Amino acid sequence: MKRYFKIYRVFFAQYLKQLIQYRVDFSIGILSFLLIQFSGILFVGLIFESIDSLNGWSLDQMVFLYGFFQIPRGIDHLFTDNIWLIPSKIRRGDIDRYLVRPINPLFQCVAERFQPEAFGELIIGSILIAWTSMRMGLSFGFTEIALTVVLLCCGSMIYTSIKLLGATTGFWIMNSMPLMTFVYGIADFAKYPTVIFPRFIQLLVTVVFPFAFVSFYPASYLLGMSDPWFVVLGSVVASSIFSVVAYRFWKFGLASYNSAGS
Amino acid sequence: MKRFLRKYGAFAKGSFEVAVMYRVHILLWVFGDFFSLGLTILLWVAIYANSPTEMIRGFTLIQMIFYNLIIHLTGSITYMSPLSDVAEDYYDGRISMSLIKPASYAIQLFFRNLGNNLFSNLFITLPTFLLIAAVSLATHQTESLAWLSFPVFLFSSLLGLFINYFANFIFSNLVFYTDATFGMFQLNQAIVRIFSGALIPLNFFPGWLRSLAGFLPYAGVQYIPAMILLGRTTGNDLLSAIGVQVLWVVFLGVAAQLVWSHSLSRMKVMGG
Repeated sequence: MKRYFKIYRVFFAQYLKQLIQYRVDFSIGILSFLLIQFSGILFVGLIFESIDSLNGWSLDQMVFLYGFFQIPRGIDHLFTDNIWLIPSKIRRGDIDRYLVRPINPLFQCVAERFQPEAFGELIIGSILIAWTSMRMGLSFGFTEIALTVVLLCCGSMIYTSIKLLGATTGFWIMNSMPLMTFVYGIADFAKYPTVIFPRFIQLLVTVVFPFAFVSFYPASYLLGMSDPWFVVLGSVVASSIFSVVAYRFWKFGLASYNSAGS
Repeated sequence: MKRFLRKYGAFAKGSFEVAVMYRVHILLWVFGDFFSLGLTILLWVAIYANSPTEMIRGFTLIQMIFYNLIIHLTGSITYMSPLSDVAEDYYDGRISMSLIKPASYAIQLFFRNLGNNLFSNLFITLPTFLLIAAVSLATHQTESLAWLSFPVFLFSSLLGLFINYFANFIFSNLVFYTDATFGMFQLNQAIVRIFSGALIPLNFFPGWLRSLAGFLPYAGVQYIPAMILLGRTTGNDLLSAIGVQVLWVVFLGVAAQLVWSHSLSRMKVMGG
C-alpha cells in the first residue's frame, strides 16, 4: 500500500510537468467546463421563469441537485480520467507496458493521469451547494456531513465502475469509446429529479445504471425529502456490486488481451 | 469546375469511406445522439406537466417537441466539425502532408467534412425527418409545421452549413496560436450549443443574452432554419432572416480567408 502511494507521487510529479507544458490547453479546458455548467444552470433558470416547481422541486432545490451532481463526477474525473483512454491503448497495444511492470495494471493506468480540469466541476458544484443551502436556510450536522462523505465516495465509485465496464468492452470490440460515452451519458438524467421522468427511466437509472444514487437520492436525502437508510444502503450496495463486477470484468478482459504487435 | 470537383471530391469520398469503415462506432454515436434527444423531450414533457399554462413563451408542448426535433434535424444537416480535423492534423504534424498537396487546405478540409456530413445526413437527418413526419401525422398537428416552406428551409439550412463551416474553421485556427486542442473543441461545442438555439429556443433568453446571440453567427446555423420550418418566420421576416444568413456567409467566408493566410504565415509544424 505504502509502495503504491510512493509510486502515485512519482506519476503525479511526472504529470504536473506535462501539465505545465500544456497550460493554455488546461485553462481553456477549465473555461469550457465553466461555460458548459453555465448553460446547464441557464436552462434550469429560464425554465423556472415559467413554472414554480418541478414535481415539488423548487429552483433552489434543482440547483442544489445540479451542484451535487458535479461533485462525484468531478472526483471521478480528477482521479480516473485515464480510463477513457483504455480503448485506444488496447488498440495500439499500449497495455503491454502495464503488463510488464510488477504493479497492478489498473492502478498504473489510473495513476498515469491526474485531471485538474475537474476542479472546475468540484468548485462550481461546491459553490452551487453552498449558495442554495444558504438561500434555503439549510444547516447540516455531523451525521449529515459524515453520510454525505460516504455517499460521495459511493457515487464516484459508481461512475468509475461504469466507465471501467464500458472501457473493458474494448478488449473485444474495436472501439468502445462511443459505447462508453453513451453509457456515461445516461448520467445526464441524474442532473434532474428522477421522479419527473416516466417509470422505465426511473428503473433505468436506479437499477440498471444506478446513476440516481450518485446525485438524486443523496440530494433528496440532504433536502429532507428521502429516507436516509434507503439512500445510504442503496448507495453502498450499488457501488459495491458495480465496483466488484467492473473489476472482475476488467481482469477477465485483461486475460484475453492480445497485443497489437510491433 | 469539373476538375475542381474531381480533385476535391476525392477528399469527401475518403472521409465518407472512413465513416463507413467505422460504422459500428458511428451507429453507437447516432444512438447516443437520439438518446439525448429523448432525454430533452422527456424533460420538456415534465416541464409542461408542471406549467400552470398550456403555452410557455409561445410554444405548446407539441410545438416544443417539434422545435427540439427540428433543431436536431438542422444540427445534423449543418454538421461540420473541422476543429477536430485541424486539431488532429496539427497535433501529430500530419498537416505538413496536407499543406504540400497541390490543393488548398481549407477546401480539402471542407470536402473532408462534407463526407462526414453526408454520413450524418444518411443516419441522423433521414431518421429524424421520418420521426418528424410520423409525429406530425400521429398527433394531427400538421399545421404546427410549415411544410410549404420546406424548400426555403432546405436553402436556409444549406446557408447554415456554410456559416457553421466558416465559423468553426475560424475558431479552429486558434489551435495554431494556443496549441490547445481538446479544450478548444469543448469550448466551441459549448458556445455553439448555447447560441444556436440547441439548448433552448432563443426567445427564452433575457435581453442581454439575446443581443449577444445577435452578434454571433450561430443562430443562423440552426435557429433560423428551424423557425422557418415551424412557420414562425414568414413574409418580410423570412426575407430578412435569409438576408442575415447570406451576410454571415459572405462575412465569415472573407474572414476565414484572412485568418487562414495569417495562420499559415506563422504556423510551426512539429514532427509529421
